[in-house]
Amino acid sequence: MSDVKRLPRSAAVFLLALFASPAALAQNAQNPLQIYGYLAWRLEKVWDELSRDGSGATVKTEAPREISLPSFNVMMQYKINERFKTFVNLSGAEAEDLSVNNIWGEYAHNQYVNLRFGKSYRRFGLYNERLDAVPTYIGIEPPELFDKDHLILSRTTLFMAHGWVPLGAGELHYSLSTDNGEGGPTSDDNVPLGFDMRYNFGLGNYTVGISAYTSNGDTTSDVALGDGSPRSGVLPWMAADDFHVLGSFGEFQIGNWLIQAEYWRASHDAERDPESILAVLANAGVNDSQRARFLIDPAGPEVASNVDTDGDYDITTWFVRAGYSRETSYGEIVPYFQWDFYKNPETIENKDWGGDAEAGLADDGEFTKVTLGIIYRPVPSVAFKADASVHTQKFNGEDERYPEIRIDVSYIFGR
Amino acid sequence: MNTPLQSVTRRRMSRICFLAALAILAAGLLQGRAAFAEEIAVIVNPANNISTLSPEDLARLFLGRATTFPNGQRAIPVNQAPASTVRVAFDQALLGKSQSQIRAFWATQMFSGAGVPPAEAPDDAAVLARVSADANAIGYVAASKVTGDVKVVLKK
Repeated sequence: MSDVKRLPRSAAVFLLALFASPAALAQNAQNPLQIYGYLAWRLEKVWDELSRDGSGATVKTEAPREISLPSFNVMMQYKINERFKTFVNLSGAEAEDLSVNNIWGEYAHNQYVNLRFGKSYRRFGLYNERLDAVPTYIGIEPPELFDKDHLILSRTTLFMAHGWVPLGAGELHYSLSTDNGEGGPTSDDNVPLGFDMRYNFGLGNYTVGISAYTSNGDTTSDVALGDGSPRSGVLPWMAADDFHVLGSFGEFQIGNWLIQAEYWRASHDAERDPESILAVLANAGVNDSQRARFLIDPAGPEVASNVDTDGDYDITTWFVRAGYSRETSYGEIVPYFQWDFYKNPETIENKDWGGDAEAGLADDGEFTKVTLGIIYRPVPSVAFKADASVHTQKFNGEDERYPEIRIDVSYIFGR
Repeated sequence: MNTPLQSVTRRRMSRICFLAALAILAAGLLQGRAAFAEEIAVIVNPANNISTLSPEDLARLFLGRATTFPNGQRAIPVNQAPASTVRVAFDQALLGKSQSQIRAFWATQMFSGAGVPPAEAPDDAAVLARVSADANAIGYVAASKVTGDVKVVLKK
């Protein structure tokens, strides 16, 4: 998706945030135009970063501290009348520029049928869209499922119908969508389909659901090889990829505890492009396992006839996280725990060539990340978060770990 | 390979983080909150032909999932100020959520474009005034404050 407007670094970002203070933008919910958003700063430090030296031996280095402005978002909801509303989300990653994350309009026919058209977060249903949109839900650190490096989810232009019906003591929600595909040329006139169905009960405190997506035929990546990581579900060295994604999720608010869990699997029926594979082998610095996947004979020559064009693979990811919210007269405190698993055996580490820095680092594309953290909100619009994670993966044939800590400050304005 | 200085720094950071977390948690555990002792009355305009409302239907209206009463009439929920004791009691008793859980809920709704929280009135008197003046309004007040200008559809 193309950026609509680019602004000079940080100038617009900070000025807008400054003027959009809670007092300045105190909104009345009856006001048809609502403007709000958030800023988040991050200090990140990684130890024992893994790499290989010239002889192929494992080297661990201490990475420098990184201070970043990882997210800046301004949202606008405009209620035209009782049936029509629009939503715009402008995002400025690293405050480098502003791009349009979401822009859509929605017609509410009744509770059963709402129709949405435009650029939207996810085609995997509204539960994940809402979960992904929030910086300080449990923690600011999102699950690996939502990491932009990982290909399982993406942003697109879609047409969606959604609604709900009462069922027992709860509500059965659904969404059904189609979209404009991956952005690259396709050999078939695909009609991608996505849906989710979820059941909310216990006054909405409990949610269970499933979600799925199919490309409904062969498709290709939205970026050319060498132009970076794709934002869609298809790797850039694939000549064709017909993929299907299935996920399940649950969320439980039990007293002060919030517990969330999701499991996803993406099955790719893919065919590698031999020339693209040769370019990756020559330029991207793949490891032995990745080389063995790409070539029929890994010890053989790097020629098109030695490329294994059967690129079928599965991505699996899940996470479990739990947070405990404690209200005090000093503010809210939320200690939390998160455990992520992610596996993509087809990817490589080099992001310039379409890879994934975390899964691609591992010999087999598999890693886990365990996180312990604490959030402190002195007032609802400000959150301080400190957490520590340990990544575990197989690297150079050995189980290796590297720790990282993150300190985040986020500020929600216009509420 | 870490130098001894790096190891010491890391150990110090871990200790400081642990002690800070412990102090914050201990402070939190010592705090309490004054309870709201009265019954809460959910009120609508007398012109509204509904006579009762289930807790599920009430939650749907105040959490933005429904925009109409069960009879099909348009509904305009009116909340109380977030810090008020009646609001805290309403959120807990009728929506099953704490203040922070309500904030988290509306954060998900707002940031994904799903909706915005109901309008707020500063106190019982303001809620009574809004509901008595608007046939579509629904609010809640302390039961002892109910007047003849509104109709009670749920008490808890």
